[in-house]
Amino acid sequence: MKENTAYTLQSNWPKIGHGIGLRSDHWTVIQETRPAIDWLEVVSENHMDTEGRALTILEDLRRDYPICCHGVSMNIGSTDPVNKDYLKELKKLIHRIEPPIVSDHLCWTGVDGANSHDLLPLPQTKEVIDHVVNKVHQVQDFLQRRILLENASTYVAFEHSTLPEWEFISEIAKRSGCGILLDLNNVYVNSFNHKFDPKQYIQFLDPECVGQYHLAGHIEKEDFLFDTHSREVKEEVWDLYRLACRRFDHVPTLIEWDADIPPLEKLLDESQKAKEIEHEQAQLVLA
Amino acid sequence: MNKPNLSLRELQSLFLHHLQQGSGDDIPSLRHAHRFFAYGNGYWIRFEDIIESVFHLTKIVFSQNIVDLTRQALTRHPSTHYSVDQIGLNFLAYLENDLDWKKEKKQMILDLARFDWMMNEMYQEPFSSPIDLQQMTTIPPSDWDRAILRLQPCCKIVPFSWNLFDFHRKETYDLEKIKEASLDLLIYKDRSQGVFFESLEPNEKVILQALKNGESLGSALSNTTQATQEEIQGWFSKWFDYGLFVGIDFHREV
Repeated sequence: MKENTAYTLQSNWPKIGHGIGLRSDHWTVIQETRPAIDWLEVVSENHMDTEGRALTILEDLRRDYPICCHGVSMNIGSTDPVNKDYLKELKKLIHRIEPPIVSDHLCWTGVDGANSHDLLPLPQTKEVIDHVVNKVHQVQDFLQRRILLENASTYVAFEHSTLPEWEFISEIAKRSGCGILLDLNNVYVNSFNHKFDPKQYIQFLDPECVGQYHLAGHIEKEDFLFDTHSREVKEEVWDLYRLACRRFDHVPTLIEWDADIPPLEKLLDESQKAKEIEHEQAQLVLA
Repeated sequence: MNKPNLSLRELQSLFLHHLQQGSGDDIPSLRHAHRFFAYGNGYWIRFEDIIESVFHLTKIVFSQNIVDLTRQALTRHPSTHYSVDQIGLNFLAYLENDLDWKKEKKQMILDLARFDWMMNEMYQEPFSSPIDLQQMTTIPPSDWDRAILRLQPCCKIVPFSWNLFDFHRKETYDLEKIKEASLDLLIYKDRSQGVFFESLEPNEKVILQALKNGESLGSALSNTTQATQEEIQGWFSKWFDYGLFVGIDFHREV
């Protein structure tokens, strides 16, 4: 197994504060008003393969904000080989906007060349860990940088899984050198959907591995929670955020909102709330 | 533990196949299979949203049937690109190769769909800083034969065989009412980065096409003798207002 390449030796993830997801609904208002926010995150694929406004907006905003790249198509868990065309385009985007953090999801999105464009669940087994670690190495070698992988929300599971999700993602992070983008909404959604204790998840993770948080909203379905990114962050998720802030040191926090997108002020309010909670929890730790 | 007698690749292939059917009942080892619809519904809605947002004119023709058409197209030509936006090409391939329709109507639908896709492609083109009209008016007529106006890449002139202006703002349309026409359309991205189209007058098209082909200003103007000076000034004023020109090069005397 490959270990300790140059980029994996940089163990500290950047501490860039509190950001929001940049979506086209807010392009103009952010460009014109330059709100007080520490950083922005974009869905990488929305800004690849284009020379149009989706790219020029980033070239403009990056003068005032660090912009992180969060992908949905790396397909890291698929048995298909790593898609070099995809990585080449991602690398081009990285060169143009110099993101402090590059991330994607611990999932698969397609197989046999076909793409579902959804974040699909993996069996949580040692064989799958070996498979994903191998692919993360290939990606990080190609990009010449470490990436973060986000825990995805899931609605179904596999009976032959042998590991809990927190052990599964931790092992992949430790062995591949990637970090964890800890989506606390997804932890809560999955804890409800698959009946586990979300606090145990957070307490298990190695603080060295956690490079970023996502906070978002979900909705209730018949017997499960559905991760829609269409609502405010729920109180139960804020509670998990409080716990995470006490356990991990100043991890960058992002408010994600992808459907029924509200005015920008709403996202800024949610981000401000996260900032206050982080501050309040830091005081508790010091006390 | 109920380990399926399948490799990871086989399990993923089966999962993906079932997404199109909407039921995960036959996937071995799947817990909470009754929730599989959450993935199945999302699979189609994602594609439908993209098709409806790109194929504006085509949607008017098909109205609500575009949902069924999208499903047929994506079943026949599944997405294979990492960008979901590229499924527009799969949709075009379906209309071109698989749609069972009367020949003359099929041609019209194909033309509309290609036009919609071209508008989408134009949106992805770069828009460079344009020059203003004053910069052109400083060129003395004696230099017109060596002055080359460079156009934005996000500007195309395309022939079109149907009267777009009859129906492009309507919600629904009777196919039988769409009339054949011979149009030359200017498709362009303006300073707002929005993509627009308009019909060109015959003489207007001759001048703009010549400039786009790299002919000098003098040569482009000499291609038409029927337009009045006021018409020509009006066209240039409009084109500069859109930001169509990005520079002026001067070639040596011919």
